[in-house]
Amino acid sequence: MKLEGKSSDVKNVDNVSLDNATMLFQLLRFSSPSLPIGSFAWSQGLESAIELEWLKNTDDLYDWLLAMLEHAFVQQELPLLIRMLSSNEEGELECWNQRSLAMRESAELRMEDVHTGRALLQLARSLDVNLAKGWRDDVDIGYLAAFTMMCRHYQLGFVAAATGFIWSWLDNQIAAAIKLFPLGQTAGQLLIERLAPAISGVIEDAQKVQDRDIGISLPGQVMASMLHESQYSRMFRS
Amino acid sequence: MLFPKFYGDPPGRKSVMNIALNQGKVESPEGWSASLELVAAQRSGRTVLSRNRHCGPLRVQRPFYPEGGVCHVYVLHPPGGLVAGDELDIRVHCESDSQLLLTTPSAGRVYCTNTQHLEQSQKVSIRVEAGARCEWLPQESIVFDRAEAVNQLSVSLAAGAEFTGWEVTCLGRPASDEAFNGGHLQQRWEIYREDRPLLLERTKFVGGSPQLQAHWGLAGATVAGTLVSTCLDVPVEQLREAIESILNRGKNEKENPNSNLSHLTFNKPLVAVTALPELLIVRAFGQNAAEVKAVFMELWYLLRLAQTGQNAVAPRIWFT
Repeated sequence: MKLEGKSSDVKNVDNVSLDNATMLFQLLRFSSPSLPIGSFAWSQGLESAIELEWLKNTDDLYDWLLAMLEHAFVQQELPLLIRMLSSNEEGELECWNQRSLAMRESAELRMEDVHTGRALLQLARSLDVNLAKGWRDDVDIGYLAAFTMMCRHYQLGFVAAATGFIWSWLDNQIAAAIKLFPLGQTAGQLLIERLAPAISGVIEDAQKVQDRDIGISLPGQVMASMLHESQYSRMFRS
Repeated sequence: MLFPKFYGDPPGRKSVMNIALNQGKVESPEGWSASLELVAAQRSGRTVLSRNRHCGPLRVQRPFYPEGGVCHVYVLHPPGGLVAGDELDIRVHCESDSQLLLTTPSAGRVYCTNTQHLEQSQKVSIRVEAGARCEWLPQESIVFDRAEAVNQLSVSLAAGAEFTGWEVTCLGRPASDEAFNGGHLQQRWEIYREDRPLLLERTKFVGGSPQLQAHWGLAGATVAGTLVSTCLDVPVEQLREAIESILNRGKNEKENPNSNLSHLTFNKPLVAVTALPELLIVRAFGQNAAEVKAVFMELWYLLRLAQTGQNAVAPRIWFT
């Protein structure tokens, strides 16, 4: 038995040191689905895409979620997150927040963003996060800007923040799919397993996006979200 | 101020729209650039073009007045389509209280580009002052296979300014068995109310890519339309009912067994409505530009009626 070899293997995979274990802990905590911001109530168009029979099986769901990652996250969400995290001029975070809200193409996508953003802002305020305390009450805040405040408070860099952000989105989408679909818990986990290898590429590609190229609309998702407003029976708010 | 000053870009970052506005009269190495500058002003009860300047093959002849003081303008592009390297730059300023309707006499075409893949772009920048209303209602754009099309609409609204606009885009020419197998189309909508962005939307379609068929993409539609309006006076439920009745009205005529479109995904358009805090948006997927335009036109009548209390008169060119 090569004990030495084994112990160095363990060392290689142990990227979390005692110095940053607390940071990781905070990231896990506010990316958790049990964070009291009500994300479980929203499906981002998934409910009507299933109702329309656009998504009929796990392969369809895989394509849908992968497209969100490879397009929406690469081209829009993560480039916005980078800029919000590094915003320092007075008003710059607010400015990117406004732009981010203007990229929500339907009433429900915007409502979801503003509701979860507001809830996270309230939580951040009660945790004494400085940026959150300074946010004006009459200004709508999107989820990304509120999430940024938490990341900055706990000194998390972009890669950590992006990982947590993608996790909370994906976990929520899978949870929604399990309720909407004949999809079991294990099948849901297998789907996450299939998507996981894409994550680091998504985070890397997002860093190459220039200011003028930020923003991407996926017309089918937007159409599904808009049709959801008048869907007859609904479990989710988006 | 002749040209709109656009606000709202992040501090220290160069505005996409400023870039668009500062270009213009420079001819690209290959291709035929053209620009058009229009200023609409309110003079004794009707809107006139107080400035109408063009450079290159893009122009407006005389305005029409089919509905009182509203100025109807047809933007003409005599070559009839964009080839490799062409760039159209249209800038419109609607002064206070003016009422301007812009349309085009026929479908715009973006042809297959050349071996250098030069971009073919149309950039429209509109500034609308307080109390004015601008309507940008062009006929459809047909993007040919292997085109490199850029289509950008930038609107800056003063407080109290009104805007309605639409774009109907056809990818490829399915009726001629030409699918959109290569090239790109990039579309941008940027609508600001003073310094606040109301809508920043960017779509990119890659010819021959899975997104054209994927449900998160175009879901097999070859025609995509978007209508945007600052008019929120018609409840969305009423608009949905109107859409339903327009689509059902066409249904009987459409059930033609010989129709060569019957096998396609959208034998009638799929249309949805949403109301953002300051903008109404309608989107359509379909296979036939005329059907999408027919829906948009009916909705435009409803919006106009709500805005003015009077029935709109459509530009005559739409029916010729």
